[in-house]
Amino acid sequence: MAKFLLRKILILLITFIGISFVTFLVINISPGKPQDMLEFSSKISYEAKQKLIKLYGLDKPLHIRYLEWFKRFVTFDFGRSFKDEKPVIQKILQRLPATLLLNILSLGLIFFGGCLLGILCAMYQNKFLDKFISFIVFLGYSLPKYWLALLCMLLFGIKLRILPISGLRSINFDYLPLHQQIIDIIKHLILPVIISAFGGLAGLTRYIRGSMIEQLNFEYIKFALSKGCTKNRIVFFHAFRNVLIPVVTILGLSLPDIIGGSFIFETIFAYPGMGRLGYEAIMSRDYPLIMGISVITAILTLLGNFVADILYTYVDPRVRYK
Amino acid sequence: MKNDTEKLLLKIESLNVSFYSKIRNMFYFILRDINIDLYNAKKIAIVGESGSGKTTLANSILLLNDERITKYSGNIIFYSAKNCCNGSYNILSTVETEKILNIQHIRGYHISMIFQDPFNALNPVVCVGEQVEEVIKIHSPDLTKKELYDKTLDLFKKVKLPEPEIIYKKYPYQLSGGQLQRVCISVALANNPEIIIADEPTTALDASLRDEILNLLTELVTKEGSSLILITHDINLIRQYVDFVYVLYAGEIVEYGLAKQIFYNPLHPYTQMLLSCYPDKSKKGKRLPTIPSELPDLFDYNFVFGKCIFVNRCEKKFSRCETKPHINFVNGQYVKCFLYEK
Repeated sequence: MAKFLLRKILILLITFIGISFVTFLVINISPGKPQDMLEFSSKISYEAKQKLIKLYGLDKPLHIRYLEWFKRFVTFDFGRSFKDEKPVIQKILQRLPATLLLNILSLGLIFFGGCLLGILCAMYQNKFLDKFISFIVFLGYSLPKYWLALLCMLLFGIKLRILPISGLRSINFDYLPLHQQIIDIIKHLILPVIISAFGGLAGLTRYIRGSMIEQLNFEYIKFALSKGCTKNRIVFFHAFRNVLIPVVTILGLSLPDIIGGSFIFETIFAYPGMGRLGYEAIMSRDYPLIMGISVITAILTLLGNFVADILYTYVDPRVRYK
Repeated sequence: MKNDTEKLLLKIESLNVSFYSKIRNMFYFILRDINIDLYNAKKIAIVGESGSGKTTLANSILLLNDERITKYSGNIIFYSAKNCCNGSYNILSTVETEKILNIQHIRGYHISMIFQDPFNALNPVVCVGEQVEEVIKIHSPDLTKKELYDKTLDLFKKVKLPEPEIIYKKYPYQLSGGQLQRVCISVALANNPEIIIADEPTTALDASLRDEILNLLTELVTKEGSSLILITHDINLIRQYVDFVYVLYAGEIVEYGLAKQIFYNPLHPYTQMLLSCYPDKSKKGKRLPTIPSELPDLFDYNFVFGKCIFVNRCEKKFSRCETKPHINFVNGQYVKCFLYEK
């Protein structure tokens, strides 16, 4: 096991270096330079721009800049934002909890919702309920999330006025008692969580449906039936344990979407998360901030996959790493 | 319980089982007019080639056929020796809710089953000890964890598994075929059921293990006073283990009687041919005979319901064989053939 972990960690490190380098490259060769993006840029004189370039170190060759960035990164120094000179790490840490909260909730919803709906579909295979659920999840899958988000904001926020449409807190948040603060946050989370989970639900639901139907045809199900198991026990204990094995992998693979994929989504909901921070950073070509966000997203993703690999051994006893 | 050996346990009465074929959009009758009586502490064998409906018959007793495509008619009446179901219960009774409750109670507690392939019968991600415990726990939910554990270890000892404590924690992929089948047998024996159905319990195993497993199974069944329904295609393998034999061909029982009589004096042409297909010393150097042609098409209702089911392969057929024969009682055994019509 120790040897397996060591090898795994080594692979993670190499992958990470690759990711950071490619990101660095892509950012730097994309059109638009930081010095052009600053406010009133057209009014900045040529000399001032050259000064900025020198200040940011943009005049050095790409590989040297990458090495410099990497040297600082090893000491957990992500540099300062071009925009407001605040340390990048501080800006990210401000936003990270909100993003993790949203994404863990939506991942949880996808997992439990997908499992439940998939199992229901499998139990009522080709009946009305199966077709109805499949229709709804496919609808969610094929509708663009941002469009659905706008429609929901219109309906629940503007027409019905029952849910707030943006941000994570109300303006008067600080003056509310604790329980109302919690209710306030929950209210703000309902739309983003449900809508971001809605799209991911389709894949998992269909996957679990198919996998469950397959498992229910296996001989061990008949054996369990012959022991006198109830139908629920067959489905939720015997078959589900086997269905769960690939689901762990799928969840591990969907982590990048979950952690990094909410750029547009957070912007629509004006949600104070990493996605919006990243969006703003890209728009103003704030190199250190973009790098910081990419790197942290990459680390979280790689860690997620790593955890999924280890979880795998617990779900499937046949997999024991040597 | 051992004194009243003539007590009837299971009566299968004119059982028909049909499956729905989506491609042909029609039902075809896998089993037709099956009559079987099983007495207390007896062992019976159901013999037939593949495709004859043996497994369907075994599954029908516990309603394990795919319920979406299966239709049953007739009666499967179970007379419990333990106190339940008011003495007798028709497994095919039509009241749906009552049926599910009762069949779940019967499965594993009154009638248990051993499957063909132990590699696939056990859940691959649950340790075997837990799978044995499960069958005890379902039917006696009041037992403590310790009691369940001890009972499971006792069962493992009974089926002669070495080091039960270690086996308990193993997963199916870590055990050999023989060990797995022993685990399955211990599941079948767990609640001391009245009837054990063994559906080709040795087919998936090495030839060297077959006698060992069959010996163990029949020994334990005798010791516990249960009855056994042994389903097999290997008529020679089981001759020493069973009291009574039913020969199944294409979904019909063509001959049945005491095991000894069937083996030494087969009457039905099919049984005769089946027995002549097996190698023994007297046939040394000769080519083994085979039965020509193949099983009839079950979709052909005219054939299946109108003629003798064996007519297309029979060497002794004559004009009357184009109609359906009745069961005749000849020399203490029953045979469904016109050759013995009075």
